[in-house]
Amino acid sequence: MSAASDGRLRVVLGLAALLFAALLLRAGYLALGRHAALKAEAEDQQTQVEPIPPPRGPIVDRAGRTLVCSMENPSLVWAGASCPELVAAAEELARAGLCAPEQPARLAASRSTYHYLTRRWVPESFARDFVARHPGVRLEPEMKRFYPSGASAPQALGLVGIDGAGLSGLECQFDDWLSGEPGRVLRFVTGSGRPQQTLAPRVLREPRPGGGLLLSLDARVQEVVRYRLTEGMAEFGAAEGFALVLDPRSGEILSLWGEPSFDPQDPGRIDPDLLRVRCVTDQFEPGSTFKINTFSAALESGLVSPSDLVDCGNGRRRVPGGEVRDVKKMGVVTAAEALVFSSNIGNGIVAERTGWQRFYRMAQAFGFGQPTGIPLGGEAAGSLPHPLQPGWSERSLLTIAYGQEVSVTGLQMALAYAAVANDGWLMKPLLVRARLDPQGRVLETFQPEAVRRVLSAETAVTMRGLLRRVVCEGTGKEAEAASFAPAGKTGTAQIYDPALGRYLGNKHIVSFIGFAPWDDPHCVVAVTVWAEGDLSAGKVAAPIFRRIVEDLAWWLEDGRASSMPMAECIEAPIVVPDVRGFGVQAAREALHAAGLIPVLEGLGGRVEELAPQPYASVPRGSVVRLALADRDRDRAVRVPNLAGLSLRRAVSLAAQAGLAPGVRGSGWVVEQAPAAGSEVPSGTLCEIWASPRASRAREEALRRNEFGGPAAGLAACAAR
Amino acid sequence: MRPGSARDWRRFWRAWDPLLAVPVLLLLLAGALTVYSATALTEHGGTELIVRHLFAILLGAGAAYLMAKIPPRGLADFSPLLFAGSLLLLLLVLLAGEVHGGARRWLACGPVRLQPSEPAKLAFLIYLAHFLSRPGRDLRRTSVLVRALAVILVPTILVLRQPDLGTALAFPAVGVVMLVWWGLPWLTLGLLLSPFATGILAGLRYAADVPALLGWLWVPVTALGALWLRRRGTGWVLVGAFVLLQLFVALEVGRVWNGLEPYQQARLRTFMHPERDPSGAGYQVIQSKIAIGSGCTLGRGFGLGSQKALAFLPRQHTDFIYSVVGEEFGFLGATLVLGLYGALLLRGCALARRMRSPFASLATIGVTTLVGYHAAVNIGMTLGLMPVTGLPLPLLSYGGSFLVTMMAAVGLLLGMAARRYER
Repeated sequence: MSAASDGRLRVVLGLAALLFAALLLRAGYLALGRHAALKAEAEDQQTQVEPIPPPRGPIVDRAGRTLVCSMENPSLVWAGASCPELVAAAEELARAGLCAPEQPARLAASRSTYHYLTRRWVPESFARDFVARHPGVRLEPEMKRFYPSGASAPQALGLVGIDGAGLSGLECQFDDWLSGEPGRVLRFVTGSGRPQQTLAPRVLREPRPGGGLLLSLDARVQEVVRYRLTEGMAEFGAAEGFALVLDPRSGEILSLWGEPSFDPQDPGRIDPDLLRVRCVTDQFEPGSTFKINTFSAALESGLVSPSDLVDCGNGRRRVPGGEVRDVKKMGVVTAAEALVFSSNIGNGIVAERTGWQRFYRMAQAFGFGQPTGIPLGGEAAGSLPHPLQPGWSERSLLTIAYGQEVSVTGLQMALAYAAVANDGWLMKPLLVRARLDPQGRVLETFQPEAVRRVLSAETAVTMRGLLRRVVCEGTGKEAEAASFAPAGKTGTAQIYDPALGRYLGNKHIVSFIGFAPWDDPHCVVAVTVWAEGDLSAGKVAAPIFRRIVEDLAWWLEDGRASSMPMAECIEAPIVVPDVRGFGVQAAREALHAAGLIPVLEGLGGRVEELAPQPYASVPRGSVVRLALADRDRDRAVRVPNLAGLSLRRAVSLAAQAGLAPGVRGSGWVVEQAPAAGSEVPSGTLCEIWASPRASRAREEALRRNEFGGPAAGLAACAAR
Repeated sequence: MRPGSARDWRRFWRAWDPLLAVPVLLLLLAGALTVYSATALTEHGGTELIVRHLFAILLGAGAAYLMAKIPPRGLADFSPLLFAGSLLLLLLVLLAGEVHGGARRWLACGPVRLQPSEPAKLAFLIYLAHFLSRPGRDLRRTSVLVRALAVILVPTILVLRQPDLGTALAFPAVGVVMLVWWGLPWLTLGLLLSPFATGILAGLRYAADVPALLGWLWVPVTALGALWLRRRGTGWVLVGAFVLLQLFVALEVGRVWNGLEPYQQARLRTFMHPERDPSGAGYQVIQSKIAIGSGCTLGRGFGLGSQKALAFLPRQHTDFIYSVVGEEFGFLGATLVLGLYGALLLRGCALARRMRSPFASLATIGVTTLVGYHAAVNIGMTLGLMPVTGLPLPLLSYGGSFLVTMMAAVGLLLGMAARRYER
């Protein structure tokens, strides 16, 4: 081209060069000059520091059986907006009882883009199967509270919220100890603020796992008490009640069970009312069981002896402001007989002879009107009116003597009887026996503590004899057990309704509190039921007491459990059970029962290999890795006959056959479903109902009884 | 081709001008790598887009080969038809195009989606080259000038109607450089550009946070222009017309501003102050700057850019691909890419100077300007120097129509380079 165009070329190129130089300078300024600031900005927006929830510590019973521990379990989530597929999946979950019934409706109305279908405990195999059937549903691993032995003292253990904080019971009281310390993790987020999978998160600080608690509770005792109490309450149509078993020598609580109860594994929406530990939080007028105070005070003072005569006035006595009546009309009887046949009038006379000062002092010594100091929230103190307080009338002493106008908690009553059983020493209730470190080693033990001596040993012996007579010849005949000689006292109390301002006519609090054997007590059992209709304690509470005492035969026989050294039972090495070939659930339960922590590795329905090797000795609380495989997932298996076997044997047999055992009750197997000999796919749930002391007669009774028994379960199965 | 023969090697050397071809190939390679990193190596990434990108490169190679093989003379003769065809397609888009993000830019034809404004750029520059290179096309003649301006303005207006400001401005940018190359008098150029300069100066009023006085800057500038015209001896009438034109434009700017699409207003405003709206229109520029800033000297390494991986960068495989280059290959990579464009531009200009055929020379300068305009505007946008216009980066960005067009243009360049001594 021409020279003229060369000049033009220079202008164009010059402008282009200027432009490019500007771009280069700008890029250099950003990349080099402002690198530090922009890099910091990048890190700031791309990352967020999140807490790593620490594994919560386990709570174990006195023998180291896990009552609750934290396990990883998938929650079912749906990343995306609400749609019909999501609702359909939720409906299926609701039908399976794995989420709240109102969940589908809630999800259908949701505007969020991330949904939890359920955060309850979901069996792993079910979760995997569910995800395979519902594209869009994903698994999100979470730490959840797991109850290997089912509902064992749910109120006392308490609930843990979705966020891992203890809400009630021991979980709340010892939250700091159980919860450990959260770690910190640096996670990367995407531009849209979602968590992402491309870049691995960086752990800044590992979480410190929470410590454990060793309780004085005994899961076996607990199971007996639960079964007998619910059975008895169903028999009499009662809705509320509790039963308490404690060791009088140490004040250790072996069992506390309140009805109505709940399944902690499947909390859903629990009425907060169900969370309270009734024998600690509920105060009520005890009725005749309080007569133990009257007679203790009288005998201890030496002013009254059991053989002194009292005039029961043929069941009627006029007192200022009304009349005191007896159920059983008696004339002049001994003081002992007044107690044995629970005469209110005779009891009043004994109290009058003792004098209100001594009476009041004895009640204080037994701990009435004061909290016992058990580490459970919301403990009631009860109320013990002082004669100099307003509201004390001329007949108050008489009324209080037979347990009205005074209010107590079930625990206070049981401890008072325990003091009588323990030669007059009142013990502090002991629920937590030790704190364990995260590895399950005992860190600190809590020793039994005597509060004070309430009675002399002689008075205590005399009192035990009197209470034995109550069972032999008095109002507590129904409590007489076949082999152990229990002693105890009935109590039927009217219920004062503050709203109506009077006592209810058709509802009573019926109690039986006693111990066995009477001459060398190993356990105190307190049963209290809110009974509808005109039922007396001797009819309702005493039989429940008897059945519990009979079922606790093994406990009473060796009587050694309480003195068993804790370190021995906790720190003795455990032999790893051979769970090869077990279904996932069965293997987990077997390891939990042995006090080991199973960790699943790989996918599959059955255990292929485990590390450490089977039969190796490992410390309690060790992790056992289960390598899973799917080798014979869809194999059909034959259901073995489990009837009559011990529960432990039955579970292992069912698991070996490739079934997932689901256990109800404890002791010996009385029923199973599916039936023995039937062919079912491997991994099917095999429900096993067990009962302690499954004698033939009791089996028959179980069949007749609709409540919670196997017959009901089978009927339900058949209906399905 | 038979290797070993020195003659053949020389022919090959001339047919595929390495000073042009090597930067192009390197840019394509960098583009494929970066698109792969920006699509597959991200959260929820997949290989679908990179496969499509490689397919587009193949298609582009075919187009480039075709364009290189067609003799420039034949192309010139054919160009009116090409230009008319592309105008027709642009009209068709306005009537029956697919709407995405508020703009009607795409024509759907089965599984293929075509953006007719991209090939239109090429057709336009070939036709303009053909138009100007005909005998007697002296730009000092008003009739020629007016007809040339019409050739520029018709596609500009059609694309503006889509609306697509960035692409629309490519036509006048390429056109004006070609006119200058063809001897447009500087005075005429000044007069032509003066309304735009006045418009921009007067438009400063609508940008936020600008001192009010700056909005009146056009008055002294116009006065200086008028004075300069007078000193050159221009008649009073013409100077008066010049001043009146500026006055008219300055008064009309307000109406034009109100006529802009809200997203355009937002883009222009946030260009001035991106930090004003960090989650909205300023977001893209802020994220792009963060990406380039975290690259430092050598970058974070291929595939390791977290801005990119975590999808903080918007449209990272298309418009903001340069930010990915900056983040993963650092200032060095960014400079290299810029340098490759610079090499391309220099070689283009050098070739244009040597072309014997006026058509080839014009077309070469047109293609060079087209590539340079896109590169400068896109890179300027990612660096926060220019408003966000949505122009892709030539040869690097993902985007079928544009990539194929650009490769066809490069093919045309190579073809003309091989025949540079033909008249």
